[in-house]
Amino acid sequence: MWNNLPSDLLSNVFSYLPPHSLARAMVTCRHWHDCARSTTSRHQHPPWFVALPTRARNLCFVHNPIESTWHLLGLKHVPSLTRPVSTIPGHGLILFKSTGSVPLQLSVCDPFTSRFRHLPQLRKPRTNPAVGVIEDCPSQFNVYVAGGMCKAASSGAASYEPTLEMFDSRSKNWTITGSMPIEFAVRLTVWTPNESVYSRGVLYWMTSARAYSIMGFDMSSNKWKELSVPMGDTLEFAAMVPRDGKLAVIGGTHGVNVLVWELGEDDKWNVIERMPVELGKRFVGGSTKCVGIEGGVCLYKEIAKEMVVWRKDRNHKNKWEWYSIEGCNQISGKRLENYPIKGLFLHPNLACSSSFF
Amino acid sequence: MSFSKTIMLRNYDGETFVVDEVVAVEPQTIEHMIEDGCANTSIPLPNITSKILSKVIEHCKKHVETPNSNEKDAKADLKSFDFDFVKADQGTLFDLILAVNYLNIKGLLDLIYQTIADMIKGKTPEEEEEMRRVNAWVFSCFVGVTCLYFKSKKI
Repeated sequence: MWNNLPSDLLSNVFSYLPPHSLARAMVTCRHWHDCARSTTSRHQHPPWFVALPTRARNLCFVHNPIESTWHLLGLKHVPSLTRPVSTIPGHGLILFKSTGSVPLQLSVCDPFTSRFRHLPQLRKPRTNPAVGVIEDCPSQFNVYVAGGMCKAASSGAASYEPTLEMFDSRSKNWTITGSMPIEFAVRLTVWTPNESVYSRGVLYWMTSARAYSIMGFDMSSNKWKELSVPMGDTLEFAAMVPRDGKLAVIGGTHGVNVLVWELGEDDKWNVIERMPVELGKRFVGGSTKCVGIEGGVCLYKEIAKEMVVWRKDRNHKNKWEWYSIEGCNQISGKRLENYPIKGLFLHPNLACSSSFF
Repeated sequence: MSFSKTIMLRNYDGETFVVDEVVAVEPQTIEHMIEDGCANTSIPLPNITSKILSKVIEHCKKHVETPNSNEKDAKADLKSFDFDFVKADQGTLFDLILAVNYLNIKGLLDLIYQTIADMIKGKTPEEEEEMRRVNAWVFSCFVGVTCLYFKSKKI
């Protein structure tokens, strides 16, 4: 009987399945395999937290938020001397960059299939620029690179590179989209090593340490601006988070006093949330980091330590809830090292490999 | 007593259902038919049985009649109605999804899709393993990229 269900209706049913259930459905029979492949996920499923040990390049921990289970993936092809920068979340990809004082080399990796691909060389090779990602639609993404240092051709002395370059995932090419004021090139070089947030037509980067500040590039007007971060010189950790299309910042002191601010229409910050004190008390000590995505934020330390998540409630769309999740300290009964990690979020592509590869 | 407009729906079995217009327009397909002026005598729904049509009307009525407030009671009442509504046998669910898809009733469609998805989600790994094993000969050709997630060690 169910075999007579039209394929488009079956695809619609599949769009309600979380990533791992969809992947399981895909291997049950040919018909389901084909329907699952053509399913467009509705992304009403919560994002997955990915933890990459900073000292073990080939390991990747992922947390399934629906079953609340940790999984350990082996990343075979990630070269040494690279580090993760951010994700291309809708495509389920991690963006890596080369470390050290070599010209920037970016690559993408699908942690679930271990597929890995280098992006082509930049038009203007540079070291330590800011790297940003914009996903306009499910079939395309753009990577932006701004600032950085390059060697001047004649004298060999290094200088700041005041240009913005864009990579188009469809044409697989870099193009220089424009120039930028030198003072922004300076601020974006070295000091903005982390993920960007795209909100209301502006691509934002935040400096990586106190005193925090944010630089933004308005795509339509081609103008750069700088924003101060609330409590920017007292926060011990902070991260930008896209929240319902708006820019938000989560940050705290000593892991106890954690606040979330949202940027209003007038570029003013409003406090919208405070982490519950009981959760904060369990989080004291050591260095806390945080990362966010549309629909979720995670505060974490090392892999084995408890983490705190603030996430959109699946049942009540406008409600967000605080959860704590246990860290991961063993595999198959064997105790694991308590790795320091870089945390990221993405929507896994378990049913089929990204078309980018 | 105010006069409320009613619409006649005539279905596959030849039966007619008289419903208030406000209920009848829940299905977008019917709303469009009325706007296009096709509803002078009765609206034909030849591919829907009486059993299914009366269930659909029951759902539309309940959702139209429940006040659209954010009150906990009203919401809980609707939720419990929906929960009981989809406790149907698979045959009914199958017929429902085809009918509701044709009628284009967004809320009810979401509910049924979610119900069927939950039925799929509920399979134990053993049941899925059995399904995979039985169909393995079909899959030897299709499994291209191996998915490391399932080979990964669950912690």
